[in-house]
Amino acid sequence: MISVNLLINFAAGCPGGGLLGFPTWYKYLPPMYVDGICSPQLNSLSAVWLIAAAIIEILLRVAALVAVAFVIYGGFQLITSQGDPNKTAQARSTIINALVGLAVAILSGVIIGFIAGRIS
Amino acid sequence: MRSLKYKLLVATGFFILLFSAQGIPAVSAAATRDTCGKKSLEVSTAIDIGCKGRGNPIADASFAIIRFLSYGVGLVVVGSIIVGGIQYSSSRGDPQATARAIERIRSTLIALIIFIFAFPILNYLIPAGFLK
Repeated sequence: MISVNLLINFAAGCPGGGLLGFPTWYKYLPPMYVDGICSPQLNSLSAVWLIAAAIIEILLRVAALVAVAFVIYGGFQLITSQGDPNKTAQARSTIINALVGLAVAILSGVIIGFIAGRIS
Repeated sequence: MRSLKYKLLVATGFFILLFSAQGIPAVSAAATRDTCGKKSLEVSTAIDIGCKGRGNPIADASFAIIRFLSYGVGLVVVGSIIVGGIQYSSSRGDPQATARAIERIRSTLIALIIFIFAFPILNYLIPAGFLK
């Protein structure tokens, strides 16, 4: 799709520190150096989509973290279920839902490419 | 839900920001093109909104904004599906929460399909190749 082209054009942004492996929001903005200091350029409306692309990357990391956290939570539920079938079923569905949600988030790009590619 | 008044206020602010050439310090000197409309009619804008310099400024600016919005559809849809995935992950096996996540993903896909068919439908309705 078009958004992919935008990403390729401006692949190199300002170097900057991430936080806990999260990319920076200005990752895809075209850099401009003034006196050796890099500042991301924000002079056109389409810069909004470059920021959106970086935010989507951040969201993907968040999705992975949430999924891991809920798999751990489900495991904890399973440990503390004491063999109660209701509680084990609850714990199992927690774990399965966490993994399904992670799969949906990771595959979202592929799903969109598939639908848009088939129709248009 | 935000009220209609709030949305109108935000939209008005957005347009004032876009179309006021003076009053905003230039973020960068290297703007590609920040005028709308063809040579004799051109109107300058504060930032580059992607005008192609054809016809009257209003139509040019509207097409620029339509182009801008349609570039972002893919990104917004992917983002919304990822949010749906996060909702699904954090549902803890609660069927209602799962249903909400599935509802979000389904609505997003319906929106994508509506967007894909928007151009053919409008092309069919609006006469004389206005959308060229």
